Amino acid sequence: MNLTRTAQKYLRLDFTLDDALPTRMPVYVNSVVYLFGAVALMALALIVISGIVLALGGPSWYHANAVGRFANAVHFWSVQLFFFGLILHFITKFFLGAWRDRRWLTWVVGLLLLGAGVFTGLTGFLLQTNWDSQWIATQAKDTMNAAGIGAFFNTMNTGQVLTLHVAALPLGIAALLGLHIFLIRRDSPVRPYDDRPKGVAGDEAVASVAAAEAGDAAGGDDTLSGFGRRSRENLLGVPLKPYDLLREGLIVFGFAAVVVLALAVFVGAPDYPTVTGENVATRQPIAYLKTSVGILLGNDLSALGGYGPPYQNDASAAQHLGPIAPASWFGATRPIDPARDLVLAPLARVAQINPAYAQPLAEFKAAAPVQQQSWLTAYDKALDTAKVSGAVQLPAGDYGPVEAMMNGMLSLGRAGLLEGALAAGDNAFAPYDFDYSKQLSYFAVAPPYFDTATHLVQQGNPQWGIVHETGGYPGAWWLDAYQVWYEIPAIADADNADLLVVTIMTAFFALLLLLPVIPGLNRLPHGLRVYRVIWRDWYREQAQPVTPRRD
Amino acid sequence: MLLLPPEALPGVPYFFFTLFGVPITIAYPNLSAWILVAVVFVAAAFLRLPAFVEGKD
Repeated sequence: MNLTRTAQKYLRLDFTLDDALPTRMPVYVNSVVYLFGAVALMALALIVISGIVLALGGPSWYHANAVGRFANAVHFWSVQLFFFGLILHFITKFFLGAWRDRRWLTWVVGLLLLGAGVFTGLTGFLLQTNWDSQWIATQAKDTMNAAGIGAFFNTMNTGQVLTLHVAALPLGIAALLGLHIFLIRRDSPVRPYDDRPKGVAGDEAVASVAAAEAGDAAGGDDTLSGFGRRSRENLLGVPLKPYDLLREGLIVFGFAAVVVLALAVFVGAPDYPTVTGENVATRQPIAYLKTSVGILLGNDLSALGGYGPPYQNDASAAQHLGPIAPASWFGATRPIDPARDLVLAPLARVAQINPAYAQPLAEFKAAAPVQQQSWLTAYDKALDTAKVSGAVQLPAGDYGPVEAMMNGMLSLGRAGLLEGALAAGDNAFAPYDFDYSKQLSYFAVAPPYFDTATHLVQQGNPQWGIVHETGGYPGAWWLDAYQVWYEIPAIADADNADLLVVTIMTAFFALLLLLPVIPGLNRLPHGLRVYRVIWRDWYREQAQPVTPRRD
Repeated sequence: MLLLPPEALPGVPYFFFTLFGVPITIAYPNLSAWILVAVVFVAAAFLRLPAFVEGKD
C-alpha cells in the first residue's frame, strides 16, 4: 500500500481546496452566531502573540515593566474573549444539533478543546505569580488532590505550571484545534433540521458523490463542483452564496484586536501583590502566631496538617466516595510534615542566627508530646486575649518554651525571611526549586488569609473558590459551572466536597461528550427549537410555494 | 457573597438576593460575563451574517 498515494486520494476526494478554503457557503449560514468560533480562534491568536511576549521574560518580569504589564493585560483580555467566543460557539452548536450527519467526532474534539482550554486557563491563572495565582493555587490544589491528579500535578509548583502552560498544553490545543478545523471544513456546516427536499436525499446524493470520485467537476450538481465527497453529500440541493473565509477571519481578527487592546489600555489587568509572611506578621501578628502554633497543634489553621495524600501517607484522611479514594492511590508523592517542615525547621534556622532561640527549641523537642500539647494549647488560648503593641503581650501562663519559639517565628516573618526559611531544606540543587507548596500554603486557611487579603486587596469581597475575582475584574467565570456546586450546603459542608464536585463534573462532561449518541438527549435541540430563530430565513424560504418554471 | 447586596434594595426579602435560598459566591464581574453571554447569543441569533464576509468578486 502506497501511503502517499492513499493520502493524495483522500485529499483529492474528501478534503479539496474548496473544502479547506471555501469561496461558497450554503445560504442557511446566515446568522452572526456562525462567527463565534472565529471570535474564539482569533482571540486564541492574540493569546499566542501576547503569550510569546510574556514568555520571553519569564513568569514574573511583567510586574515591574510597562511593556510587560501591557502584554499581560492583552493576554488577560484575550483569554476573556477566547472563553466568551468559545462558550457562545458551544451554545450555538448545541442548539443547532451540530453533531448530526456523522459529525460526532467534530463535537467530541470541540469539547476536548474546551476542556483543554479550561485547564490551560487554570495554569495561566496559576502562572500570574501574584495574589490571584497564590489564592487559586491553594484553592485548586484540593480538587487536584481529591481527584488523584495532585500526585502528578502540583498547582503550587510554578516550574511545572510554567512548562505545562507554555509548552505541553498549547501543543495539545494546537493538535486538537487542527483536527477540529479539518473536520469542520471537510464536512461543511450542518444542515437545518427537517430540511431535506423530497426526492433529493437518495439517488442524487449518490450521483453527486460518484461525480466527485470520478474527478468530474461538472458531474452531479454543478454548483458543488470542487467540493469533496462529504461536502457534496451534505450540501446537495442547497443553494450556495459567495463567501470569503480569509476575509471573514481578518475582519474578526480586527474586531478581536480592537476589543482586546481597548480593554487592555483602558481597564488593564489585575495584578495584586501576594500575601507574604512579612505582611501577616506585620499587620496581623496574632493571626500569624495563631497560624504558626496551629501548625504545631495540627488544628484547622494548618492548611496541610492531617491532609493525607499527597503530603502524608494517611490514606484515611483522603477524600473518598464510598470505597473510592483516588488521592490514596499514589501515596505521599510530595511528603510534607507541617510541624517539622513549616515551623520547627525554620526555627532551627533562626536559632543558628540567634542562639537565644536554640535553647527553647531544644527544650520543646525534648519534651513529652503531652507536655508539648499542653504548652501549645495554653499559648493558643492566650493569643485570644493577647495585646499587640509592637511586641505581642500575653497574659501570664505556662507556655514553656513555646512563647520564645513563637517570638522567633514572628521575628522571622517581620524580617521578611519566612519564605526563605521555608525554602531552605535538604535540596542538593538549591537554590533551584520551583515548588512553592510550603510558602504558598502556610497561610492558606481562612482567617489570616482572608483578613490579610481583605486588608491588602479584597476590598471587603469575601469570595472563595477558584472562580475568584479581584477588584472589579472578572475571574475564571467559565468555571462557574464547577464552582456553583459548592454553593449547595450539603456539598460544601461534606468532608469529600471536592471529590463530590469532581465526580459530578466528570459525569456531566462525559454526558456532553456522549450527547450525539444518547437517544432522546441527542434530539433535545430539535425540541428546544432555538434553531428555528437562527435558520429562520431558510425555513421561510422552504415554506414558499415552488413557482413552476416557464421554460 | 450574594448576587446583589441586600442593602441595595431595602425592604426586599433576603431570599430574593439568593438563588433559591442558596447564597451565591459568584459575584458581580463573573455574573456580568454570563449575562453578557446570554445577551450576545440572543442578539446574534436574530442578526443576519453581515454581507462583508461574502467577499464578492
